[in-house]
Amino acid sequence: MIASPPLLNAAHISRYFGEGAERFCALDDISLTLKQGQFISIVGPSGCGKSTLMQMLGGLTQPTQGDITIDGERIDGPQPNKIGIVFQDALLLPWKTALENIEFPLHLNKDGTKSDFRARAQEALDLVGLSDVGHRYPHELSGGMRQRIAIARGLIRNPKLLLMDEPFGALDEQTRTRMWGELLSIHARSGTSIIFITHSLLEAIYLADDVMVMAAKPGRIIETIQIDLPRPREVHMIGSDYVGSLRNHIWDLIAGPTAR
Amino acid sequence: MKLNFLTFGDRGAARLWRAAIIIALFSLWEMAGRYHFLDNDILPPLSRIFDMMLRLINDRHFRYDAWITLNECLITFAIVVPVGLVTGFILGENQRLHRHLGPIFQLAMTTPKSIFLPVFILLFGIGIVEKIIFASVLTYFIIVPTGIAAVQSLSPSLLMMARSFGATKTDIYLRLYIPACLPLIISAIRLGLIFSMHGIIFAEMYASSEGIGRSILAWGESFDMVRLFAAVALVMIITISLNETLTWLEHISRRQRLEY
Repeated sequence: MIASPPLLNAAHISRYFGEGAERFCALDDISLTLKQGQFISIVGPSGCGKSTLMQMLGGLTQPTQGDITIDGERIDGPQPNKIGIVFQDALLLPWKTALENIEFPLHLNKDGTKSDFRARAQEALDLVGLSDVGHRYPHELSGGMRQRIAIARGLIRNPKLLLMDEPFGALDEQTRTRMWGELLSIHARSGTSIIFITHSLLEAIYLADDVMVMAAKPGRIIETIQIDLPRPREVHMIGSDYVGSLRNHIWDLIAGPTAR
Repeated sequence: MKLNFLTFGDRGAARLWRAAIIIALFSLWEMAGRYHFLDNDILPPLSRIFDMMLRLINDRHFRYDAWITLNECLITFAIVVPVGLVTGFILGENQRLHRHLGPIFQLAMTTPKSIFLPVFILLFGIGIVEKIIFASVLTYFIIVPTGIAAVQSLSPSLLMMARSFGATKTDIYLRLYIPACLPLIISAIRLGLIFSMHGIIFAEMYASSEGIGRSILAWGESFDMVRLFAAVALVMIITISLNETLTWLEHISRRQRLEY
């Protein structure tokens, strides 16, 4: 089988902050490739530059060195057509309803009619399982619901790539576990590539095809691990020996005696 | 339980209590007037005051004075609110300017502008121009901090989110800033109205050839208490109605934007 060309390619990305004596390296020589439909998790300790990496992948900031390309084209700014981003804090607009929030990227792009936008927003809302709350405001919704609306918004333009920055960080464990199921089902149905950043080792392992483990100071990738779990994933897999040993291995890489 | 109404426990009950207190006070006032508990010349009975209010509304001279004052207030308002808000927006957005000019505005705000009225009269004489300039300066330094607060109420993360979905500068101003700042903009309008009126009437009372403020001063000095109370009551009705309407608008716009 011929391997399909990569969707996203980051080649030797580095990011420095500050000038002169205060210059420090936030990210050092990071490379990654992402195929269409692939789900990659990035896990690492606090301060390893995960969020900075995500902002560069999303075109919100530029790398100091190196290039990132999507579909072969260099990313030099936000890519609203191809990339959707789900942020850590949902970041919904408080004065808009759920449906209006989901439609927001469509209004920015302006190609379509209002009723067209509304129909598409409702579809996205259905996709995340919140069909009935379209007319509620963010303050009337729970944290999990807000994140799902943020996911619907990220998907509204059918991007090729969805970037997710610790989207489930603020949720309690049970809501989080349910959200894993929702996200995996969305991934299976839509075929969107996903890069998912998280603190949680188990979350990284459970969701992804590949896990990239990062270290801090400077931010760099220590190891990329392929996850040999079948899809569709099931929650009980988390309790398996395979997952347990993977988790231990990643833990050792990040924080164990051999960690640098 | 029923005892709720004694402790203001219920909003309907609170309203009844307020109405009852006001009616009781008004009745006492009326009786004091009718049965001469107080000198009628110092505190005229309510019925005479209501009567005079109606007569004033129908009086050509009073209407002319009211028209002058109203025009002055509207002109002040129309100049100061946009200029003040724009100043506030610029200062709120620009860190450097804010640091340099902020303290000047602070000083100007904390100084009672009323004490400068004699200076304004020396510079600009007495007349429409002087009154408008005085009221404008007074109101300007109230509007600017409101404008600054309005701009700063929009979190930078929401800006980043909008950028990631392809928002242009225009999009950011029209779709983010204005809706986000709407409650504070309404607040600025309300304060603009209140302080414009305050400044104009104050200047008229101090030294003017026409306007409501001058009439009120003249009636006070000639102990025409009935006309004095009547005019004051009419002004109060107008300012209270305007204030309540705008507060209600502000309240509605805030309700949609509850933070979460």
